[in-house]
Amino acid sequence: MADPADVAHLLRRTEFVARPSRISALQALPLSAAVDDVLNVPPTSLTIPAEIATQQADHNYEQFVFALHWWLDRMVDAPRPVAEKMALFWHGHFCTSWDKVFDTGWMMEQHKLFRDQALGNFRALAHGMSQQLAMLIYLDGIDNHRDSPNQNFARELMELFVLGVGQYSEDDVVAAARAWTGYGIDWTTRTYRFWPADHDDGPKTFFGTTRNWDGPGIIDEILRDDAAKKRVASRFLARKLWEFFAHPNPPQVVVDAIGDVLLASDMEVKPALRALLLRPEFYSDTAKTGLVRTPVEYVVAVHAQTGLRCADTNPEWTMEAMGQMPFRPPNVAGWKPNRYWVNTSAWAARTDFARRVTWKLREGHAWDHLETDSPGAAIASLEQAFAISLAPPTRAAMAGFFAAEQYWWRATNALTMTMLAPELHLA
Amino acid sequence: MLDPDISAADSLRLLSVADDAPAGLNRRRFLQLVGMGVGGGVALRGVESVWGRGLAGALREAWAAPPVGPNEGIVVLVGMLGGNDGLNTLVPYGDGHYYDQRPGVAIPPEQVLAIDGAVGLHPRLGFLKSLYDQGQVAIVQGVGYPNADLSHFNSMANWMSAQPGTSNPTSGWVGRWLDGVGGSADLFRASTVGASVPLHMVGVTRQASAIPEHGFTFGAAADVHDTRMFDALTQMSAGTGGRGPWHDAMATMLANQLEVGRQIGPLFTDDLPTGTIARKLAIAARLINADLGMRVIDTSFGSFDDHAGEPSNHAALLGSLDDALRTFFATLDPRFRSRVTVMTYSEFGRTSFGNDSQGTDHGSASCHLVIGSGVRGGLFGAAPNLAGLQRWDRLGHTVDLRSMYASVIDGWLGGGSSAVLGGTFEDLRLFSYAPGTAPGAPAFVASGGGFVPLVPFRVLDTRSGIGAPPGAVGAGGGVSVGILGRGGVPNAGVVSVVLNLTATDATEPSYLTAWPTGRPMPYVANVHVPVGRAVPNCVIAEVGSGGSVDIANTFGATHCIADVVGYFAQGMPGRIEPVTPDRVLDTRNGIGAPVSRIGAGQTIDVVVGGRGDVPADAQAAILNVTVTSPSSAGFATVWPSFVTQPDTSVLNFDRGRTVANLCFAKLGKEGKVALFNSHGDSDYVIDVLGYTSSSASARLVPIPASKLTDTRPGNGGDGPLGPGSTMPVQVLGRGAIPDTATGVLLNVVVAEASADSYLTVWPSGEARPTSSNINPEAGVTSSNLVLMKLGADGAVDVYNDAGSLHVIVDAVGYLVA
Repeated sequence: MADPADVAHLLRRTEFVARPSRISALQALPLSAAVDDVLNVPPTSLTIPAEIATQQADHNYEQFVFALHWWLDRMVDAPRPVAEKMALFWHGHFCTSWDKVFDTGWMMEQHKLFRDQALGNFRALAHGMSQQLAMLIYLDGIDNHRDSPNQNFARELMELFVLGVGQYSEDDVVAAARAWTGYGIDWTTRTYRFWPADHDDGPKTFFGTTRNWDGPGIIDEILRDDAAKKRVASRFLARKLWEFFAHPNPPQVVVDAIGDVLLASDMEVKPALRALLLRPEFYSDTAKTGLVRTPVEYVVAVHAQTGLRCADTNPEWTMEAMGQMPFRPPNVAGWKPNRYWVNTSAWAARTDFARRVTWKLREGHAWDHLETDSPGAAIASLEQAFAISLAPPTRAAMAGFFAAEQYWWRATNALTMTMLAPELHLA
Repeated sequence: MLDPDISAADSLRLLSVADDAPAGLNRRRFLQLVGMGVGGGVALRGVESVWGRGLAGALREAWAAPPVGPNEGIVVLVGMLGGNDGLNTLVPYGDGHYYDQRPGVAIPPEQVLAIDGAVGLHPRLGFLKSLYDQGQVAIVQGVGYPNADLSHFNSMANWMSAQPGTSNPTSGWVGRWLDGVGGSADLFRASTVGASVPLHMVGVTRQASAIPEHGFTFGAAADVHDTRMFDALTQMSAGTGGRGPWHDAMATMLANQLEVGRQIGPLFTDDLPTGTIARKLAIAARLINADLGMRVIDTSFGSFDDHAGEPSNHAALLGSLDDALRTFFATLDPRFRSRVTVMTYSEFGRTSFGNDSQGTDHGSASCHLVIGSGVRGGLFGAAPNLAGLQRWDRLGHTVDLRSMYASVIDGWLGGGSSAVLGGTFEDLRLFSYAPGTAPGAPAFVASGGGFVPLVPFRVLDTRSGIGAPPGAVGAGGGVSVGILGRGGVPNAGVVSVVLNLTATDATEPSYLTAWPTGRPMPYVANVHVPVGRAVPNCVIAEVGSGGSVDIANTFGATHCIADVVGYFAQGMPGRIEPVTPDRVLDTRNGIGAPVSRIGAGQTIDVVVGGRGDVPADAQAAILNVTVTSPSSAGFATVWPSFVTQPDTSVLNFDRGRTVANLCFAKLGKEGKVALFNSHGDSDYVIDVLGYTSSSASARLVPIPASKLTDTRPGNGGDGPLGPGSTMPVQVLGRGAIPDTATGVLLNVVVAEASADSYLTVWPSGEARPTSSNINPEAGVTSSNLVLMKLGADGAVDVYNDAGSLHVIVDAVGYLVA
């Protein structure tokens, strides 16, 4: 029997919210079985809706909004949403942005890769993303020519995708950029294509080995053939997974343990994530209080707990100011946690969103009872609906408010206040 | 693909996070902010009286930083995210390597806004160029740091932390400066306009607040229901939640956001510009104008990561910056103008070689801009050396970024650079003036051709409806004043017009700007006017389309008066000859007129031509006219004798105040000018500084304001000029002044005078004449234009009569045959 608090924590981190039905299903199981239940989702092949499967140049922004709503609502609707959570992770890891790609269809192709292989193999994902049109555009692969190499992809591949800063030299970047020349787009078919004539097939020295390197060979060298680099990559990914699911600055022992699982499974992600979710450190107070809900997690939580949809709340109007807009990460390093979201400006966007949700909720009558409930009953109903337990200062503030306010404002402003209470913003 | 590379566009936002504990956001800080001290939260929670009625009004005061002091500097940062191409910002168009290495990316030489024969600014930086020409832009070349990192993120971290080479820095240079600033409040000490607080604005114990560019009002209570809600939300942070540091940090941030909303909500109006940097800089100007205590405001935009399509991308971004700077300075309240400096940053420059995509790749050292009226304009650091570079070579840095920061921290932010930067770095001496002491823009715009003097005639008086409907000119308002074809000004051939421009009856401290009609308004403050005083100034203004000059007021409402006293025209013979100053009138001791104050409504004639060095056939004289100890407020008029008195004025004065103004005066018959005193009785002094005639040889050439001397030790001077002391100022061989110059037009500023005094400027090597050029009041900063002949050694001498004072001398033009 798992501790109910641990189960709730597990669900909040892997499934966005701890739904009562999921808590009751999992808390009867041992923790390892609960983790398996979270992770053992059937393999799926995502079907991209026709509305966004191919670019319609004159409806580009509408397509982006459609894609945003479609994904955010799916995070709420999925019975076991771990694949959506991991797709968000990969999106923030192998970053591309609609702002530069400017083609929702190509962003969806990449999204499908991240979603279908959400718990798949890191090396396979790296190979897959390297040939996606979104990535070829985003990191200038299409401008990487035999006669004038463009280093953007080669550099970020090593710095941000697989190894980390300090694990390669400038010469390695030069060599890798040459190896990646010629991998581009056939603009007549609008598909990926390798152009041999534009590929530099001369000898290049990469990590000390001189030969005619090609692009996929660079990924295989790091993630398969060079044991030392593969080990570095395993730690690199392990750290990033921990920081995404648990808290920043993981202990080295945790990174090593998860990294070893990655190595043992030849870079399969699911066993590594299982090991992560079974670490006792994942259930420490440090982990349980260690992450602020990202804007995506906040919006999804509010939707899940109020029954509202993107069509009701139009998160495209507020999420950029919160600091996180899916399909439009700020840069190739993706989103960062915690303090990134906690500033007066990002908080103002959360207040905007909470206000918008409040108006929608008050269009119905479900919350009218807050106008007349006793302070205790009102607080209890809000805690239950939003799956939070108020800390003493919040509770005192809410109680004082209910004692002082009345009528329409009492229900309306209490809803806003609940959605702004710090409890709802802790992941 | 013309889209900017958003991957690097906002590397700043990447650096917005420290991944560790929520330092600076904790409850301790919050309680200090509300003035309760640590531990006060328990009492707060239990105190019934703060509930409902007290918390907002009583305690929020503690958030407000004290106003920025009159001699405290404000820095506005402009981040050029993605790596700005310094070689296409300050273009080395005189260097053939530049064109060899980046075909398709290089700026054609004919498009460059030339600074000299070697470098010039990008063609879309026209406003910046006008500021440069006014001596208000320092361009620091070759800024970088050791072991340049080519990653956007690492390199920006190095720039922001100012701790190059430190892995995972957790604080930035502005943040650490903020740590050291006294006072209990920091929400409004430093802010970033944007969605997150970047690393350089995060200190060890404090951090800047973030102000979203779209604004927000949640926190500004409209009624009692809002107040109840806001107070309850604020109270959520009145004690630890016991849920870890992030819970408490978020509760605090919620309270902070409400406070920021309350304070800044009113600044966000519909007329803000929509472009990213234009909007952010306009907001920055409003935040400064609101006097919330802001010392540092961070803005940024991008992406400058021009791997492809650089010519159009880069031009669009630099153009938007240029427009945004214009908006910024136009929005800035003049009382802050001399306290504000703008500085750019960017994670790196770009390769000198272009790539195949009409772009450039990540480079290293680059140039940066430091802009403001206190700035010592010019080029700093060594120009990049492009010779011998290969495709992937990066430019070496010649100026450490910490040296640029140190120069700004010590020169503009009150010092302490070694504590902020962890070491001592070279002071580049980027400033001519300490905060709050710059005189504003010089009054000199353009000239050329020969000078033709006129009987002065009034072309504008908003008090009586001359040239415009009667009524003061409001904030942002202006009038077009027709010049050509009026009062003897011909319809063609006129280059510029000499005006005496006066502002009076201002409802707020403001300034007037004069510029050619049909051109964008420059940032030139021709006349600064405080409330309750009339201020005249000599202005040489280019004539624009329709033969007109536009005159605009910036703040409040002000009456404007403009008199035309002459014009410069191509092909005209009126060259200028500077002379050793000669006192032609002093009513206090009988020079040029009997010893007698000039009474109300009285006129005297003063002989100027045919006296001393001025020949009898001189057409006009350049005079310094001084009124002293007037018994009443009034004005003076100078015009050619023996013609009808015009309705114009050369000086406006207040009771008891000594005021001087430079005057281009047409001479009447017998070489005489008439001098009229309107009200009360006053003593007058007139010194002649030069003349125009068919035999004179020099023409007046405008130059960017060029610093010649500054006695203040902080600016390299040797200390104040004492009573009865003389100081030489070398002119030839300085700045853009050629060795053949015979005279110079100076803007002389006197600051921190310990007593009422006067200054005399004269050609060095000659006996000091009995003339004066400027009459400082104790404790008041004053300035005047001075046209002066050069001594045999190419210098002028400056004499101070009484007390001690600081003297700042800029050259703004010269006379050359």
